[in-house]
Amino acid sequence: MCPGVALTAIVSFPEVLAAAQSGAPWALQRLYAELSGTVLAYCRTRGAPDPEDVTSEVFLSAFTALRDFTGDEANFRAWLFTIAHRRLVDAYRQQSRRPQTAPYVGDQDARTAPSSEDEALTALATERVRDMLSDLPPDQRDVLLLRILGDLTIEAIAETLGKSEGAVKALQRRALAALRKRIEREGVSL
Amino acid sequence: MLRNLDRDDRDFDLVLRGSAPADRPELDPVVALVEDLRFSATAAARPSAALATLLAQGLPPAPVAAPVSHLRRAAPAVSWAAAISWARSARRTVKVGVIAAVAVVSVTSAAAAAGALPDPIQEKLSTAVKTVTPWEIPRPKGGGGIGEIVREKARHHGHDKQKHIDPDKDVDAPKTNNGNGRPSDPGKPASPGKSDASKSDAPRPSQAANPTKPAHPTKPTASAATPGRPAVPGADRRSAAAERQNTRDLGDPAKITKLRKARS
Repeated sequence: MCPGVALTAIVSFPEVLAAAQSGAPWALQRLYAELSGTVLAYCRTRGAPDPEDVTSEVFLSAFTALRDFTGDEANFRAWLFTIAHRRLVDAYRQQSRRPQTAPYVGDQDARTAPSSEDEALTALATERVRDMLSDLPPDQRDVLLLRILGDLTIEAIAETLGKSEGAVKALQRRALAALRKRIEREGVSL
Repeated sequence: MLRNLDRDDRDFDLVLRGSAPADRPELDPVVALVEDLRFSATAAARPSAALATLLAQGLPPAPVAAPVSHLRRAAPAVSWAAAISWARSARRTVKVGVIAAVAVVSVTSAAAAAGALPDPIQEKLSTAVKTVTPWEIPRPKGGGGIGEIVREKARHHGHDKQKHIDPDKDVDAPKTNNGNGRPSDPGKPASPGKSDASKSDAPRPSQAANPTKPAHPTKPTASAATPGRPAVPGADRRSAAAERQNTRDLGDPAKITKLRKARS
């Protein structure tokens, strides 16, 4: 698997999709490699209790219903992030019913691999971004993340969140204005 | 204000592409934030055990659809959930129609059993019911039986009792007796009133020969104008007493039977 290789660099998305729908493992692996990072970042930035578990659930649901999907790559991304959004909502509901009894300590997590430089930078960037977005209301944060990570259009975001396009545009403007103010106030250099 | 909003939308699109507008340097930190966010999304997530199995083996083969018959193939596929939801929703709209249809059928059946339907319809319905079922409903000709009595009673309110007909006799009466109460002309309008009038004034061989049959008190012209009704020989010679007795006798169906037998 080559996580950094774009899907369209080697094989076109329609070909990969057709192969995946026919059951070819390599096509499923290709889709997972291309999109799991963005879904994971989305779940992590949204504050999911277990981002990797949620990401796996998202792809399991997506691959189970893959034969029923029709559309291009943009539609597929929108569809995938819609599943991710709903899974996060379910995860929050479960978390509210069963609150965590112990705080998460990353040093004690056996799953954490030894940090390489790339992973450290990734973790740092993630932490920085998470901090910048933490002040935003959930709706504004969702719109920004779906636009930046999912590369979704306003229309796709509106369908995913169940809002109108005008409402999504308004949320995007407010999020951008809030980020600018936060940056100016703290003088953060990124 | 709108210009600023549209400009914000366009500027954000540029930020998403990784570059800030030249006249808005305050957006440079936002561009950096976007780049950081995308950079954090490059690492692939570690799959769960179930997902790892699926990725290694691929999707299971699609279930083969069961062979359908030629007739079923033409029918659209309908899921059970969709059918149930349609039935639940359709029930509310169809219920009124079903109740109305049942009501119509019930009323029609009751009317047919009472012989109250128009003659052509009653005849056809009676034939159909008798053919298909072991039951019978009164026929319109030869006296409607109970229906005849009901109509006559309703019409005359019991004043003219000579209109009562023996149900036992008239149900199986031959068609010729229709001349008594009803002509067999298919062109005759199926108006109950008119048919009642014809029944009451239509020629009846027995009554035509019955010298005691009085003219209808309310429709003297109808009785006179009824075709085929011969003049009652000697009717005017009937005594008043006999007339009164006859009227009283005709109030009793059993006596009617006896009288007719005696007169015939």
